[in-house]
Amino acid sequence: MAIKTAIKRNTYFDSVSLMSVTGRANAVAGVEQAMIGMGTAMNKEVLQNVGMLTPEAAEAQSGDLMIVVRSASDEIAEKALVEIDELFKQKGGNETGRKMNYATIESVVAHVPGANLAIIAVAGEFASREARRALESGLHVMMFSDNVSIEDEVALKTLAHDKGLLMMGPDCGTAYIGGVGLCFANAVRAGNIGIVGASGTGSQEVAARIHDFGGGITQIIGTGGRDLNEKVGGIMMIDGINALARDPATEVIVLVSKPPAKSVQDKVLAAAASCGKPVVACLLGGSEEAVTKAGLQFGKTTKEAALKAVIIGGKKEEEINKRALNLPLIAETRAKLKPEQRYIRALLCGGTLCEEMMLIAKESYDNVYSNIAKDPARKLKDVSTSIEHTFIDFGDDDFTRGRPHPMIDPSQRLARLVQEARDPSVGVIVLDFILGYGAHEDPAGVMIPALVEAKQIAAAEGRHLEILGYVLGTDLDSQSLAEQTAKLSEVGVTIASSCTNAGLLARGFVSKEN
Amino acid sequence: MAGPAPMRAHVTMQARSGDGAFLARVNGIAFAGVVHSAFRRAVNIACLCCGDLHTLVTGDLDDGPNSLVVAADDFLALGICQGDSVRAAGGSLAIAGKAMVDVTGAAVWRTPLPDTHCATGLLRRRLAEVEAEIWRDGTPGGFIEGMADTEVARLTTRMLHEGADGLALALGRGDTDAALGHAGRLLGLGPGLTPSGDDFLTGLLAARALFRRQADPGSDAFALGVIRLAKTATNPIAYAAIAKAARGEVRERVARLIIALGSATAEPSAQALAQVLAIGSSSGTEIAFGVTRGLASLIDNGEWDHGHQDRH
Repeated sequence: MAIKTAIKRNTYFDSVSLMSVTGRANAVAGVEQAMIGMGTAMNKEVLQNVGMLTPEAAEAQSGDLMIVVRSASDEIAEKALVEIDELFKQKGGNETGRKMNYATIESVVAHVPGANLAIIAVAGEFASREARRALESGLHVMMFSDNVSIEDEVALKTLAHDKGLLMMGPDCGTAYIGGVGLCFANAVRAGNIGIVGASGTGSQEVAARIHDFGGGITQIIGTGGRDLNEKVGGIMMIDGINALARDPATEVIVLVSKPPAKSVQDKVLAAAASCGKPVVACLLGGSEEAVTKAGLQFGKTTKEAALKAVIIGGKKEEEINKRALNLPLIAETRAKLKPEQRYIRALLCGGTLCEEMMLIAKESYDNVYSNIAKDPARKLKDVSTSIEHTFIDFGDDDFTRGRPHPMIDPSQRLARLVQEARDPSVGVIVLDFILGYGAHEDPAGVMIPALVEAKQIAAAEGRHLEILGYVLGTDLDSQSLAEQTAKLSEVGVTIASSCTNAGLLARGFVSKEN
Repeated sequence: MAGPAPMRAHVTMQARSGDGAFLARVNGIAFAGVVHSAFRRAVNIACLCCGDLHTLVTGDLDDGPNSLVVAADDFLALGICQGDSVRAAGGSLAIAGKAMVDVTGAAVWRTPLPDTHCATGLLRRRLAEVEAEIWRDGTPGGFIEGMADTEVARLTTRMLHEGADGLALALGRGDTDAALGHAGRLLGLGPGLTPSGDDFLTGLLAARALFRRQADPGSDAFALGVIRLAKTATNPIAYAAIAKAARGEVRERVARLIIALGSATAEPSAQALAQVLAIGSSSGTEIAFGVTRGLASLIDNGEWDHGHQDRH
């Protein structure tokens, strides 16, 4: 006689599965008796009384699953355990959800009749073909892929428009459709505000601020960064506005983008003005006059756009914590910096976060440089070397060719942080930490050693180095906003409550005006 | 932007109804937890502050203590699994990067309470009838033999009946120490995720708590003692159900059966019993046995004949 035991630690299967597997285990050829049950003291007593309590079973805890088999030989008992394990695998238990692989979009459409959206994340040279197949199969498309020609983009968006479908992208990294967050998105409460965004982190920032102000989101429709280019003509932005206009849950619409080409801006604003719902336009660096002339609300910053949307959406202004700028902190930090510590160095993962902070700095300073500056005179010739006030978008192609996005791989930013800390002209280093789906599981944690080192470098040279962090996230994100901010605070990082406030604080910290 | 990046989507689901206390926590400042166990139709979440289990159940199931009924039909299909982090605040509950539950507009649920109680003779007759129906329609596995004709199964069933009979007698004569001794022999005993003995005690404790004059376990040394014993004698899922039942909190369908059995104005229906018997594999059967024994213990120790204060 042989008795074999398998213990599944801290494992829970539903009772129906346990009973079913127990019945089938006792029917396995050669098995005299199989007992499957939780590792409680009383169940172990039953085993003891029938002579089946093994040392392994005796060690089991009440949250463990005991599988004990008695048979004529070791070989049969072992074989039975393997079969029982197979039965459990079939039952699924606490294993993750079922995943099906299909070779083609057509086969998905054939086998998953409820599917209505395809995410395309293949190399750019193949992306257009797959997107076309998806659209022709009646699927909305979110194209994460980049390196797609502008001619293909126009053709795909025109096809989608004609079919009444969304063609989000190419290079669309953020969407939130029908309650499903796609690619990079934050966990936000449901609400009555819809967003159409030509910039991923811009949409994330506005959504996170809306959540923080007590509002909620219906949809985030991404357009891809080139949609407002003159050649594309804002096809997706306009279709997105119209889609939200038709969505009964959406009561307020927010547009987020960099300033479009003039002709495109006129078309987009006209579409927004005629959509029948209040629209807040956040065209970073764009014309307030054009927006208000069209009868829309102007959001100069992402924070202002979110606040206006939440108030229009029905939230009482007096009930909102607006996260006012901490003016005493600015004075306090300025006092700590030496006269030669004049410059901001912003090392950012979010393109729109970089854009917004740079715009805020440019309101006060002329000498602002960036790898994403439109003005050739202010564009960094060598992205590895900062000049005066420098704002780096680590998500730009300069840094992501052949590498993962910095929201996933922080290595380049880590090295740059230490490099900037050595520069005695630097007063403040600004960093963003993006939480949410698709982002790093611990973006603050991976930066801690470099942050400590940066502080130590400055201290060794008798300088205070201000490091300003902004965590783009919500209290619902899996990475835990509270834990991420606490980690940063513990190593002396000052925390900003929004991208807008981060820009204003950084600008104020290095101001040398009395 | 270079790819490919990890692709994770979350699905937003509406909570239709939920336990008042759980809803208050989700609507409050913050709730942090971790998925303790995930099944197709239920997800158990352990609160990081107090360790208490909270449960999401699919829309085809009923309300219960610390539960939210969610418009979903398969949690495993969403990829929810043990260890996933859970955050809740301001009306939404998010599970890792996989799912979000919106509690806006969810109906507040609390365990229904009886407002009348029937005469002792009528209750005795009903209990006898229902017990016969449980034997006839119940699922084998624990108290009813027959799922597997093995030495383990036979011994388990025998020990369950010995414990249940001993417990009923001890409660009937008001001997708390002896009752706790028998309850200790039932805790953690039997097959299934929630062992049969635990299910029996859940039904028994809920029935007693709902029809005693006060549902406060502090007024029932036996209930208090079972909670204490169960903490280490069984797994956290079974313990959570026992601890709630001892306080008079039990899932809707079980409460309805208990109330119907003891009510002066309603009759227990076959449907009410069938709904309880449908719980789990044999769990519903053990719970129903526990309900009948729990109510019988109130007759035997004289509590049923004492005038109940009506509760409206």
